[in-house]
Amino acid sequence: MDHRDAAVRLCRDYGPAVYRRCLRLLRNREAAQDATREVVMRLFRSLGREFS
Amino acid sequence: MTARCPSDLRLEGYLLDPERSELGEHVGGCVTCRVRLERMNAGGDDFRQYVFPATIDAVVAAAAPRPRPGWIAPFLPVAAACAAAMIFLLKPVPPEGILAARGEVLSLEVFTGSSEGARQLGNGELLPEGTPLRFRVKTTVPCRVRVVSADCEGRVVLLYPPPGEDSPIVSGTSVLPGEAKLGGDEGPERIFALCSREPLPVLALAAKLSDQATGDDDRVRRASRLSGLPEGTLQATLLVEHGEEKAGQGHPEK
Repeated sequence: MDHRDAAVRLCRDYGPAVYRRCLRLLRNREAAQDATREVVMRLFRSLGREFS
Repeated sequence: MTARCPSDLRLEGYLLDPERSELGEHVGGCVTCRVRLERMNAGGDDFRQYVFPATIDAVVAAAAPRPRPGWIAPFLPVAAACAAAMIFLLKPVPPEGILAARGEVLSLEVFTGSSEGARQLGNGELLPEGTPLRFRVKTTVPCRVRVVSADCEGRVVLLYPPPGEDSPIVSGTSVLPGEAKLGGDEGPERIFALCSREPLPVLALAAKLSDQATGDDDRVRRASRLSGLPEGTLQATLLVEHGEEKAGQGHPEK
């Protein structure tokens, strides 16, 4: 599985839940989108080995 | 229903794996939780349509951190902790919504023209009768695209390509040629973009739309995903509402 596939898998499986949580906390779509991106990037860096 | 309603986090777990979740019985009999799940699913659709592609690009490119408002920072550890908890405690499920088996993605953007230029429509936006629409699709895999709509009166409209024409193969970002006009009756109308390896049989597709995305207003609004399509078919959707804008009623936030 290459990096893109791994990122797609991570984002596909957990992205919606992260986004919903961010939206609930921040109550602002743009900020929630930024935060979601940041969270997924951090997760990808931390869990990269698990997903590759 | 005697059991207490589960937390949002537990409902997230249910969404990740409804088959194995122990909440199935509760959710099946609890109207409140079903409404909560519908809202959560709508948030998921929002993510898939507007956030997913950019997030993938950002993750893959490992772009340098962008400046962001300082007030977001305190929430990031909370969101990250929730996400990490879900990853470690819950099992992933097969892809849903606009995603197909190999993580391929389709997104749909709808624009309306005006004297001031094109404007992208938000989900659920109110449209006056006869508003001309243009479509842009983004796909991560070459596939044959078709755009259709269904309304509460049971009308199914082939928006692109026109009736009688074969679905063209698209790849990457494609602005679909031509304009389309939706029906004029007040109420919701749902637009679907579908992308498949082989052309979708139009009559069978119309029957599925009629079965799943028409009937009454709520049904159209809720039908965010068509089931029973050929394996690997990608889909994306946008809801529009027909009617005249009332004074003080703005467009939904993008």
